[in-house]
Amino acid sequence: MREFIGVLIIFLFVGCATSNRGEVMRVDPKSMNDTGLGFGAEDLHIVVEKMVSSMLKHQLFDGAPVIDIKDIENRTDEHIDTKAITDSIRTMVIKSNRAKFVDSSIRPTLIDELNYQNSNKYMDKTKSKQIGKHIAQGYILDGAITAIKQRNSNQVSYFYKIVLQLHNIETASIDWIDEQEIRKVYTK
Amino acid sequence: MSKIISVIFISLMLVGCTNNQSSNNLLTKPDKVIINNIPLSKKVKIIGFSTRFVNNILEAYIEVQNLSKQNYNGKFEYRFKWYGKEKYEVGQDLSIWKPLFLDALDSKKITGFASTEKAESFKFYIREIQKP
Repeated sequence: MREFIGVLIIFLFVGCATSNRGEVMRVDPKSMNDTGLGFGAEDLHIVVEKMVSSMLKHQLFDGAPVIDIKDIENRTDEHIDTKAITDSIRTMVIKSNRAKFVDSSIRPTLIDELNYQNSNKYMDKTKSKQIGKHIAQGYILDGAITAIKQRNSNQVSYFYKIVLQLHNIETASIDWIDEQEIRKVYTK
Repeated sequence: MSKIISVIFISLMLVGCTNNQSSNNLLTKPDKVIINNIPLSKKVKIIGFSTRFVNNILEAYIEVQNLSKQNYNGKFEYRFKWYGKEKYEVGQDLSIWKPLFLDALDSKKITGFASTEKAESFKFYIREIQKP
């Protein structure tokens, strides 16, 4: 037991004696390092983890749905790169092999390329990609992020709510929805 | 379900310093709660855990209790790590540290979801919040 306490004290001493001031350090991007009240990288990770887990648990992901992503509406008064949220969600879900995604915004470019490959006399037709194989999306993912900010003489409070939902294109029903709440308090 | 080996660790975190150094002593011992950090083990306790499959993906439940009578709300954080065959880590992208809000003497069930069918086992880490 004495040996254990001795080792622990040494570790603590070394840990305290080391200062990181003035140094640039690489840190685990998945760690919690809150540096402000605003929507930060930690919040992005928490939202993505929650939403991806919730989606993959839902039965509709048994059938490998095809999803198109629309923008998440930013209803806050701060700049939040909401595309970073949907990009991460799409990446994680694709990695899980539980769904396919289409990006309707790039469709005109893809159609132009297909037309070029199949109509241009200089193109090797045996290697041209076939027309008529685009898959149709069955769902559209969208959502919103809202914020409530309160302050008094000694405290500032930020509350964020992020809601995402999957719209079934065929039935117009919302087949999946979830939300994540984040609250941060800064005491002066 | 029998192929699941659930391993839980309480990671060794040296408290009292703002330095972010950590020492995780990983011991492979199936189905056991292994406490490496004695000071932390006096503040938080793993009450129990269970696993199940949802859509063929491993889901883990951990019940954690704050042993302190003081309010340690927001002072803990946790993460799951998921492992596939031959103990290779899988699903790292969603293996993030998350805050754990526990009032004095409160207990909470934490859910972890592997996000990949490859996951067969997991490790659970809990520590006091690290300041940058």
